[in-house]
Amino acid sequence: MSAPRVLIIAHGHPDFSIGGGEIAAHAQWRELRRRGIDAMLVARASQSPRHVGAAFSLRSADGMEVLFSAPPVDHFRHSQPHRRVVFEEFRALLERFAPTVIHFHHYVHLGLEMVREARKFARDAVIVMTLHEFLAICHAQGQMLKTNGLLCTKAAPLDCHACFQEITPQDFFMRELFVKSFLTLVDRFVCPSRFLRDRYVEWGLPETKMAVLENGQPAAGMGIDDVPGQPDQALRTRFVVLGQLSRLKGTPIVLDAARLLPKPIRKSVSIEIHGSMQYDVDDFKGQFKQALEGLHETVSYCGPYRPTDVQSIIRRAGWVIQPSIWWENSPLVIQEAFAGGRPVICSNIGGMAEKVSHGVSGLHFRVGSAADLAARIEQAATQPGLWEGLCAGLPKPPVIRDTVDALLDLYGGVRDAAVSAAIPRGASAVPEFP
Amino acid sequence: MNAGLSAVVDVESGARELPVRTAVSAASAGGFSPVQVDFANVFREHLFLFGWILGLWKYVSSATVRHGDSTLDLLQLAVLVPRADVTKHFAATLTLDNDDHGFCLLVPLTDVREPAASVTLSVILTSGEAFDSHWSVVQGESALVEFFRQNQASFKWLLARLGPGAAPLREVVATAAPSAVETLAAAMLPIEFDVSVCCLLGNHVLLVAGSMADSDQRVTSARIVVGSLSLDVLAGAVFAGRPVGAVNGTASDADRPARHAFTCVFEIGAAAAAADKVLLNVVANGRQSDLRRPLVKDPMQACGELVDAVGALDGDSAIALIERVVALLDDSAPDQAVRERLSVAHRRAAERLPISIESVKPRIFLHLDGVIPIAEDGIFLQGWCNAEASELASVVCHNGFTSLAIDRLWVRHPRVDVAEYLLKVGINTSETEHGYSCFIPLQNKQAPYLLAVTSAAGVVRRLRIQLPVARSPALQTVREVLSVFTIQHRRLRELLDRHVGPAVRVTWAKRDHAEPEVISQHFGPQPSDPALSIIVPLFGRHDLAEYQMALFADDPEFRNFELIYFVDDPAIYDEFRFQCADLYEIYRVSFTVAFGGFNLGFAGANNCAARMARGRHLLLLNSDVFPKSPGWAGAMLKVYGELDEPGVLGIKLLYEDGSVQHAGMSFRRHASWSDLWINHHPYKGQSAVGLTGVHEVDAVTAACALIDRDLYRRLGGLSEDYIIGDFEDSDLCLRARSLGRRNRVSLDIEMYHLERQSQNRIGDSQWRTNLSLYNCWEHQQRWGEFIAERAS
Repeated sequence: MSAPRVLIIAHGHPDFSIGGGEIAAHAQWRELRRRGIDAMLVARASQSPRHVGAAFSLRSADGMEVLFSAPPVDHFRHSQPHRRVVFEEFRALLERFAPTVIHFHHYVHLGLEMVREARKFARDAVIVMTLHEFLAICHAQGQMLKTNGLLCTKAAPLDCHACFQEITPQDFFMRELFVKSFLTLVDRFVCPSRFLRDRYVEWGLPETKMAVLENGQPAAGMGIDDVPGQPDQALRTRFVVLGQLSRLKGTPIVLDAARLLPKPIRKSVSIEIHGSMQYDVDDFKGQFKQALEGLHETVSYCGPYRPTDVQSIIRRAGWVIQPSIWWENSPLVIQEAFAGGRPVICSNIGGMAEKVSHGVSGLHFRVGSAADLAARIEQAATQPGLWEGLCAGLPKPPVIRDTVDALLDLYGGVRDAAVSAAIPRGASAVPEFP
Repeated sequence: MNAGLSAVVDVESGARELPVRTAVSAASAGGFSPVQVDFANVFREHLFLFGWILGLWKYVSSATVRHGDSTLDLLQLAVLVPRADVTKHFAATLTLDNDDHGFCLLVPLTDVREPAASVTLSVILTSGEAFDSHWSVVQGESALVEFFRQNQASFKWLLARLGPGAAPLREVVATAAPSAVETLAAAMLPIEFDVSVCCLLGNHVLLVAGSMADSDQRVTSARIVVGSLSLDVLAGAVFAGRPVGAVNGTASDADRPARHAFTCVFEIGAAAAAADKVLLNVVANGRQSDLRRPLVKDPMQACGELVDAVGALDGDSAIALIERVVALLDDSAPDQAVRERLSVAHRRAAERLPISIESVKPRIFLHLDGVIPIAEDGIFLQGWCNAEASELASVVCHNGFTSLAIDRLWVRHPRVDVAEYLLKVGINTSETEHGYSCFIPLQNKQAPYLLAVTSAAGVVRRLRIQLPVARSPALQTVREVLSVFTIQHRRLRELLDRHVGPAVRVTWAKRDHAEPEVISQHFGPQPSDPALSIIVPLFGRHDLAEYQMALFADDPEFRNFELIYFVDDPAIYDEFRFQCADLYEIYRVSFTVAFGGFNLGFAGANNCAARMARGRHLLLLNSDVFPKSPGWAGAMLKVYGELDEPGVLGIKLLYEDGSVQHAGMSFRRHASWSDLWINHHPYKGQSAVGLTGVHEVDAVTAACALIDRDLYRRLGGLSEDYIIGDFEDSDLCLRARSLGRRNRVSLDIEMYHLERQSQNRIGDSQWRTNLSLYNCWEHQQRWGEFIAERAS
């Protein structure tokens, strides 16, 4: 395949918002550039430079890192009401850069219309979309966690209406039709976990379009090349929780589990919590601080951290706990843990249970159960040989190089398939009518 | 000069001697004087005249008395006195057929300072002869007393007949002959009656009105003599109304008319109508009293007298009188002139009527809760009525001079609130159906509307129906009429058939129906010769259009189709139109936006769009219908092209859960829906699996209906007689069938129909139900038999 021109579209820029998807998009773009491939990143900016009449602005002088101050979208069906920004400005950008591959890392905050605009621009362009969560399927932040706290396995208009009483089942159905009308224009979907792929296939995306591919991280930041020495036994009583702290991420469960530990264990283990509460909802921050009272001999809150500190934080501990109460797709923290040579204790559902193999690369606990997590912590801290065994069974986390290699294959594959099948993607011949 | 005429008058016992008077002068022709003033006296500021004019009753057309500066009309003011003595006196030379020559006049003086010493009597006979005579006037009471002493018997007669104005006379008599007072006492009690109106309307209707006191007297006879006709006032047409000023409309103790004022109306023949005067003779307590009045024949004056008579009565009596007169009028020009004057009086009289009837004995309650004007075609009444069954003879609605009996017509229903009220005021009744609804097709909005209730005893009570001042728009009127019942009404069908249905139908048919001024705008290139025009009305939710476009965008067939979004909601037009250019840029689906300027309703919107459509076929599509996959429209066209006798083609429509929303329609009846034919959707809510093939059906839904454009136009499009939207689709399909076409559904083609997302959300459920019921009924009126004949 001749050198592709790749346009990567992200729903956020890591300099402004912290999230796995933003980081992954940025990392892929940088790797492509490192290989000398023409790659442009268009990242939605939550901060606007307020240039009247220009929704796009530059992050880099050469114009290949672009910020998109997208006007606010309809958050129900992810539609961009300021359509001119799509069919004029975005179109102009497309025409000038003339990508042969357009890779959406998301459409949230951007508007699904961009997908159709991309398809209209070049019928032959390869359109790829990475799926980071279940937003197309689920209006509850794409987590498939019902508003009453139960996990959801299947979306249906009636069930969605039960979660959002003010939205009719018919409106949910129309949302589905609407979203699918854009997704149907996508050539390939990249799913960071099999779990996620399965959910989308169940929902109706064609299996032939689905590819499972991990979001690899840059090797340097991961500290992959530092071979961890023989792990120090003393570390097995040290646990660490990393990342966004929130109810969704299960942070309160860790505190409750600490409270449930038998007294001797509570004295001997330490749990460090690192991270920020960027989206403080329902006074989570206040409740968290309050819940810490009385746990000081076990739990300490260490505040936010820089991405470059991740490995040093992880290696100071023996275990990483990933206690999310939602399915998760492919948590970055798990990759970071494996890169740091540490097993993971995680909830037994979704992407977490897929990435962490119970008894091989870590331990599962029953999702949402502080008691079960407490039992695992106790087991982790006391069972002889357990920690060492798991440390030896960790998989090698994917690195960005591998990811981008796979992506380039993917892009090429789509083009070749189209050429060989001579199926024009887009409008077919116009039929005649009597 | 007047020798021989000295008899004292005594009617009862015949001729007597008159006192000898010295005439001052008398003009005479033929040697005898045809007039004589026997006594002219001024006393206590009154003028008293007593005398005779030969043939006063029959041959005198005018007689006036001049005293000083005043001129008095003898015919109007005097009491006629029979003078047998005069008749007898002239018997030798003249044959007179009655004794009606005498007169007695007692009037207060207008100028008391220097009463004139003489009076002049001017007489004009019917033959045209005229003559004057002058008579001296004696001053002072003593002369009167002397006259009294000499004519006691005749005074008795006089006093019995003079009205309250004779008080001064009585007082003089009383002082003069106190001993005679007792004997006169009985005779002195007057029978108080008076005639205030006496006129001839339209040449054949005699109207006499006056008053008759009945406090402690029993009037045994009252007759009116006109020409040779003698009319019985008591037994004939008498309206003895309550005098003006009495309380109207309250319950009275006895259902007997109070005889204070009387008015009578008679039809009389031409002979009697030629008379100039009318005599009223009343017998009470064994005594008689006469009164004579000239008959007013001038039409203007007669009508004026009538209006005065009416004006003096309470509302009920006034109207009864007017109605009675009108009933006697015919089509001749003079009668019509009277009728016109009466219409005005009628309207004014109606304004004095109460707005409800509440009679305790007999028990008759009639209330109006709502009056809804129905176009120019009548009124719709809602209210309640309670009466002892035996007491209620009839309930009639009058509109000007037309009327309609409604007690057989109205539909009754229970009123719990009324039952509670009656119980509270102590009325025990076993009836429960107090409420009534009635459509009254009486159309004269200029004339008053009344309800008249006639009791078993024949007493009529009326209430006035007050029409609302402002005229409501048609839809609001429809809404009001449709709010008078719920579907549980025990006589729903009758109510619909006789009242609600016709009222709503005519209201809707006569609504303000402006022609829409359509503005349309094209977006994207338009096909030059489209095979199909897809018509989508938009109301409320216009975002549905975008959802549709997102799903049409990848359907290449659409390049051959004309897509028309017809905005039927003024509130959304600007907002929607503003987005259209950008919507086209995103989806690249060509379409047209049209707008009629105001809400045309489902049928109106579709018909309007159909008029501008250029496709050879039309597809009516709801805005909440979405394709499952592209190519659906082409598939429909293919199926349609292969049908014989094609009418309307529908498809399988699904809910969002995949169950059937529509797979064709058939007709069914339900007892709970008044046995009206309804559009039944078989398989609704069930699995769509296994439902395949093209089938003939009774009807298909307009949510997705394909029809040849020329056929649509031939059928006249969707009927705009249904209100807001319902049954137009089956109506269209039935019309196609009546032309010999057949309707089909293709179950192999599927789309989603999210039913009622697009519908006009018109508010509360009773209104929606009743509106649906009306549309269903209207549908039934047209197609009930047609459907029944073809039902298996």
